[in-house]
Amino acid sequence: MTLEQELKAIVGKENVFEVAEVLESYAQDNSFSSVKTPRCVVKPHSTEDVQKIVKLASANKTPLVPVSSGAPHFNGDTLPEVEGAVILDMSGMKKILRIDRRNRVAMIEPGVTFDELIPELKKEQLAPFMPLTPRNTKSVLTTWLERNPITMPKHHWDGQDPLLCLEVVYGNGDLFRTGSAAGPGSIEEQLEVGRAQVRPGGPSQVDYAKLAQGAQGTMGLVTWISMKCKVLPDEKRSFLVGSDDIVRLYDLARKSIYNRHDAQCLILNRLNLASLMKGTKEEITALSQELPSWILVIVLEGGGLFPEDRVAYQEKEFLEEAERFDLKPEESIAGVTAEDVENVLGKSSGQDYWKLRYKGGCQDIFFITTLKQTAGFVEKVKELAGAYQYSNEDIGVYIQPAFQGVNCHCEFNLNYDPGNVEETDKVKAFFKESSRAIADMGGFFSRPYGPWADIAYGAAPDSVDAIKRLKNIFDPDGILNPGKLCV
Amino acid sequence: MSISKEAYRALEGIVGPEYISQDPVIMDSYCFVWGNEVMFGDKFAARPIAVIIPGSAEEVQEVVKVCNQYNVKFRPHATGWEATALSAAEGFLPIDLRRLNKIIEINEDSMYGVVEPYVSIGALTIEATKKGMRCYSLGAGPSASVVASSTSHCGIGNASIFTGVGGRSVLGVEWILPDGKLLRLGSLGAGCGWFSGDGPGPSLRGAMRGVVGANGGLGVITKVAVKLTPWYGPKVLETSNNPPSYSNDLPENFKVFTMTFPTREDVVDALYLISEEEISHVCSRRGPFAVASGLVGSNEEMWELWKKGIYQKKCANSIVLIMDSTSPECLEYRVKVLNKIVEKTNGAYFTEDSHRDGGKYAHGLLGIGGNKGAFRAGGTFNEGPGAEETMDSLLNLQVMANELKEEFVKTGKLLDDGDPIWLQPFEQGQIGGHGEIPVRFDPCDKEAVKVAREHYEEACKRELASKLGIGPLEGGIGFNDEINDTAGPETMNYHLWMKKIKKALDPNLVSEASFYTNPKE
Repeated sequence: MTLEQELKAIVGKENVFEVAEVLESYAQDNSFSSVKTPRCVVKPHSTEDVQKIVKLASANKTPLVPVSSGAPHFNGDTLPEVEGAVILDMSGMKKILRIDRRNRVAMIEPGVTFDELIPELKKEQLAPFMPLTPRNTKSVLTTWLERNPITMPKHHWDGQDPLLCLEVVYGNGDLFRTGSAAGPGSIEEQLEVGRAQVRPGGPSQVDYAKLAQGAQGTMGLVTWISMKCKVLPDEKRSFLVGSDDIVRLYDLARKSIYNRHDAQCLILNRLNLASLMKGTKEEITALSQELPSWILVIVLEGGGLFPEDRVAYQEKEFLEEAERFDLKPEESIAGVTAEDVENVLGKSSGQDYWKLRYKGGCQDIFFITTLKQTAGFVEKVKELAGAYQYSNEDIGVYIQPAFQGVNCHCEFNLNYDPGNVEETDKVKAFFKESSRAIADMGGFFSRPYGPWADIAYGAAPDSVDAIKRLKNIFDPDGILNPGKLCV
Repeated sequence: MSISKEAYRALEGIVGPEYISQDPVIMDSYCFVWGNEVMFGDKFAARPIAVIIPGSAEEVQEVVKVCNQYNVKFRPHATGWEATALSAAEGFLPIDLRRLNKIIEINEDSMYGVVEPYVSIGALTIEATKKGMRCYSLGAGPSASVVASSTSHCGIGNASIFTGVGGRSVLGVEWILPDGKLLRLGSLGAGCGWFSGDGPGPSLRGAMRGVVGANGGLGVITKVAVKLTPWYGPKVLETSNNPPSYSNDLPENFKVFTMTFPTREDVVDALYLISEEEISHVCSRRGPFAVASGLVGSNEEMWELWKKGIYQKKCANSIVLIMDSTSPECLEYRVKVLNKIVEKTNGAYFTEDSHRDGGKYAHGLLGIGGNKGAFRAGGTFNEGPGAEETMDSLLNLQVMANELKEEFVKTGKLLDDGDPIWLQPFEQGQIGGHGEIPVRFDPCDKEAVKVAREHYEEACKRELASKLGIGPLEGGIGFNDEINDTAGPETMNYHLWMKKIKKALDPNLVSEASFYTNPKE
């Protein structure tokens, strides 16, 4: 039997795709990554399917590239880098396995999107922590597996959050569960004694989830996660704080985090806020011209026994601090209300992804730094934009305080028209030089997609050696997304 | 095990003759720590083969390389609070890190501290509070090492509901691997600073530690950056009374409460609500002995208090809570919420002593006070069943553990101190919490030590059989291959993966692993 025939025997012929048109759709995304067309696409529907496929691939030394989100993709991590790869598309694994109100935890499969999860959580008076307005096809599981930041820094206790436990199939086909989900006993037996797969570390003296997280599928294929959720807020109060000087917003953001306000807290530049709030390039341009250069978004949320009181004291503290820093929180700026922004932050981007609204194409540069350092990166990218005659007005910026204020996710969105070859080439070169310059200034490419892998691992040879040693344990045949990261 | 003259000379060449010793008087001071009796049946563990005290990370790296060259088993040692720090059945080379004792940085803007191994929780906390921050709290008390608790052992305490836990506070790490290679985790490895410990790509923090760390069985951590958390109290917390009975004046924006409840279930319901409402800085369910011992200044005082029976009767199911606040309105709101929670969960405030003398609680529970109360009865204690998961599962653990303890109390060798379980929510309850049952006994009574050991072994078996956990503190106290090999098959065979990691990072198996794992050749 051919490999394809064996795959069909596992998942059914209707779930194996060999048509050129389908294969091409998995060989492209919105990044500038180089790519090889896959050999075929297979869609498993259960952990057992995944295990069988991995064992088959291991026996045949066939590369597997996992995908859980639907298109459009952006970072190149789901594109094959070697010939003969099989795409393992887990987007059809859509079960929400459990929602537990008392322990504020949900368990989901890879194909579940935010739009599918949010209404189910709402029935239990829960809500997910959110990344910044994800596309509607984005897998919740992948979002957390790839360490995307959440908009509520207060609840970002560790870089792993909000991911708790996970089930993973390693490269030899072995099944493993991390954290307290490992056992003792089956998940059902654990539930019987009141356990809910909430403890992320372990089991015992290794944190296996951390080794799978951020690995772009190179360390194992994750078939479900448990994730922590927040109580659905009964009361909200939102503010927009504008300034033409980003540095002035830092202290207020920091103070809100320091006071542990129940707040979504992020900073956007005017283009990104306009892109989030408007649908067309013309509308975005018009709004952007009216907005201040930088906008701190604060959404205070109150749930529990006295939600109004909870929001009220935090609002009072926040407004007093704003006054102390000579800043003016507004309910509306240039016709954009804080409440509208709040609504946009609480759901997916819908049919048209906000990053593609302005020019149709967008190349992100994101990395970890500290809040204090972000202004320097903004200046550097502006300077390089000038050198490339690329308009600063086309650069979106998103700054997300994380890890309870210790560090922050800093993101530049380079908008371009993908139909314009000259502009595309310009952005490609600008992207590469900016990425290098950011690394040279101390920006940390914690999630090294595409060309960032060379930058990040070039600076950390000791990590490369350790990762390779561990990769040999969890993927001895090297079949899991080969070519990614440094392995 | 012994050390060859060649190896000794090579080590001496690194640190100088004054920082390496085979003097029996010196070496014997390295073989007595808490927990030895139960672990080894003796107050003293095996005598080390020598003791070395390097003065820098570079010297540590050279020492580790020499250990690989001459096949010398070593284990790093920081503040050495318990058996896992120093003890083994066979002699090894303790790498005493006491000369690496600097607080390298306290970063106010980004709320982290960078320390060497001999910096204690207390030292970092005192310096951090001057800048409006504090370190995570630790049940072992303020004298324990930040590096050890965050990277290599446990890292939980009474304030974990607010501060989080040590293992999840780790940022950049400087790590000498068992084969002598230097590994710097996260942003540190990329030359970007200390602010992140994850990546690039997979987080190697996962190899460094799980629920607990490798207890020195996976090389030497020479520096760590840890997240600091807000401290809303004064820059300096005034201390009064005489040692060891220190007390602190509770800041005006803090309040302390002891609440009692009719049933264990009510306690757990209250812990769920307190966690979700996020109103406390310190919050834990404590046994009557622990509540009482937090208030007294001496063993004699404790005995007088215990004889009255008040705490056994009224604090059988109780929660101790310290509330902080960021404004008067915040404090008012939090008190209102707590009142409502107490009402909803059939509780009552216990006003006998706790409100009058909250300062003693503050000293002990905020993390700057010692853990002397744990040793007050009998002279020592050991762990029974312990686990980390939801409060509901820990309630089941509590029932099982108390039944077990009652069986052993009948021997007359373990103290009948009521229901002693410590229930500790973590991170506002979002990752569950911790439960453990201490048993108190006389370490000088060999029969009592034997009973404590039997209790410990039975606790491991019953905890595993009941699916509540894989052993006391999941590796915190005395974990070894025996326990791993028993629990592993019930727990996704984690022990086999762990052995592979050990072998991959320690090809010569020189990083002594009595409290980690030893892959078979």
